[in-house]
Amino acid sequence: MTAAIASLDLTALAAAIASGEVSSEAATTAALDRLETVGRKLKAVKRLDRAGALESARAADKARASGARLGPLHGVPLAHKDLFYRKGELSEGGAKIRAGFRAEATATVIERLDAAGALDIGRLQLAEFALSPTGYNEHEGHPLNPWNAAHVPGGSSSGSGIAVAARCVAASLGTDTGGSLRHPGAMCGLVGLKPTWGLVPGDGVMPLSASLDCPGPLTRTARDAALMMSVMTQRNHTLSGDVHGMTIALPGGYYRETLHPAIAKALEEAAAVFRDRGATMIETAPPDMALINALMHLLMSVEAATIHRRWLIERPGDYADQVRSRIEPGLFYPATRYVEALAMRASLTREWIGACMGSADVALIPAIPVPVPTIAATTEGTPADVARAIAAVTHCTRGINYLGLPATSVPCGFDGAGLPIGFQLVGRPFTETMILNAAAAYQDATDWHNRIPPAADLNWN
Amino acid sequence: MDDDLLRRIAAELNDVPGTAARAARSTPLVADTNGRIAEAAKALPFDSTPYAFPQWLAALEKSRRSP
Repeated sequence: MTAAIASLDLTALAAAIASGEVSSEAATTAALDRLETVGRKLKAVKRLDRAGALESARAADKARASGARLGPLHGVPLAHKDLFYRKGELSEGGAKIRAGFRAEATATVIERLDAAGALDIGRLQLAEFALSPTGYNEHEGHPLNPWNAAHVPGGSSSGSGIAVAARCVAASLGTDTGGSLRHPGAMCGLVGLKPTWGLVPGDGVMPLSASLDCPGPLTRTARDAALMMSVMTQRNHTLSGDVHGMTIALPGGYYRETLHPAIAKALEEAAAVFRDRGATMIETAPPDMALINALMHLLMSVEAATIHRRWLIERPGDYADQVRSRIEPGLFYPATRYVEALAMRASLTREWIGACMGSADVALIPAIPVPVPTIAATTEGTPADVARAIAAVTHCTRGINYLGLPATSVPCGFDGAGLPIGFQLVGRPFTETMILNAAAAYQDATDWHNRIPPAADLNWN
Repeated sequence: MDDDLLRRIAAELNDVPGTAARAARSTPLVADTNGRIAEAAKALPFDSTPYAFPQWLAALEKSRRSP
C-alpha cells in the first residue's frame, strides 16, 4: 500500500484523498515512513512531527467523512525546506548559527497551504543559509542525489528535491535566489518553478536576498506545480497542455557556449517534441549576460552580507568557508553601486526579453549546462576548482533571478552516468500558467518525469 | 581597487575583522563586478530610480488583470 500511495503524484494523491480511495492517515503514514527511511538515508530530512501529523490526518479524514467542504489539498501530507516559518516551531536554515531558533510568525504561504487543507509534516534539509547551488552543507552532511549517491542533488532546496524525487512527499516548498528550485529540479528530475519575483509572498521565510528570493514549489509534474501555485498565489493556474500556436525561442550565444554534448542533444530532442506538438521555434541571441550576472552577484552578496554582518563578526567560525566566501564580497561594494544595480533592473529585463524572446511566448534554455557534478568535484581541489564547478552549475539560472522572470526546470532525459538532464522554460512576468502549460504539453508527450530513481526503493512494501 | 582599501572597508566601516583578513581573495571579483556596473551605469538616465522595477511589474500585473 505504501508503494502504491508513494507512486501517486500530487494531483492524483489529492484526488484519491478527496474521493476516499486513500485516507489521509494512510497517505501521511506512508510519507512519514518513507521520510524516516529513504529520506533520512539520503540526508533530506531535518525534523518530522509524526504525532502531530497523524493527529491532523485523522482529523482530515473525519472532516471528509462529515461532508465538510474540502480544500484542494485536503489531507495531503507535505514537507518543506527548513526556511519556512511556523509560529513557535524550530526553523534552522541549515545553519549551525540558527540552531534552536523558533519562529515568531507563520509564513503567509504556509498559512495558504493550511487553508487549502495540506498537512505540514516536517522540515527538509537545505544548503547552509540557502547558499549553495549543489546543496552543500558542511554541518549537516552532504545530501545525496537519489539517482546516484556520489552526485549532488542540487540546492539550495536539496531536501525538497530529494524528498519529491524519492517519492517521500508529492510536493515541497523551496526558495530560489539564484536557481535554488531549478537546480534540484534539474538534478533530481523534477519541475522546480521559480515564480515571478514578488508573486508569492516571502514573509515568514528566512531571507537570503530580498530582491531576488522567490518561494516556489518542487513537484514531479507541471500540473502539480500549477495546483501548488493556485494555492500559493490564490489565483487560478489551470493548464490545457496545448502548445498549438505557441512560439518558443531558443536563445543561443551565452546559453550554448558551455553546453555539454549530451545536454545539447537532449535539448534538441526537447525542441523537436515541441515542434511535433504544434509550437513554432525561433532562434534568438541573448544580451550581455556578464553584466546581468555581475548585477545578480552584487544584489545577492550585499543583501546577504547585511543580514549576516553581525554573525560574521560574532560567529565567523560557524560558517562553512564555501558559504562565507559567497557572502563576504557584499561588504566591499559602495552603496551607490547597489542602488544603480536596482535602478538598471527594469531596463535590462526588457532588453533580455526583447533579445532572448522577441515575439516568442517563452524561451527554452538549459537548466544546468553541464552534467550533474559529483560531490567530490564540488568540495575537493583548490578553492578555484570548486568555484569553477559551482559557477558552471549556475551558468543559466542565476541571471534569471536578477531579471525577476518566472522560470521552471523540466526533466528531459539522462546523461551517461544516469543522472537527470533538464531544460528551463522562461517567460515574461506573471506568465507562470503559460510556461507550466508548455511544460505540461511536453510531459504529456514524454515519460521522463515518471522514471523513478533507484534510491526511492519502491519495492520494499 | 587594492586589497588594502577593501581590508580597511571591512575592518573600519563594517567592523568585521575576519572578513578584512580575507579581503585579498575577494578583490578580483569585487573589482570586476564594480567595474562592469560602473561602466553600465554611465548609460543610466539622469532620473533613474530603484523603484523602476517594482513599478514596471505592478503596471504589467495591472494590465494582465484588467479585461
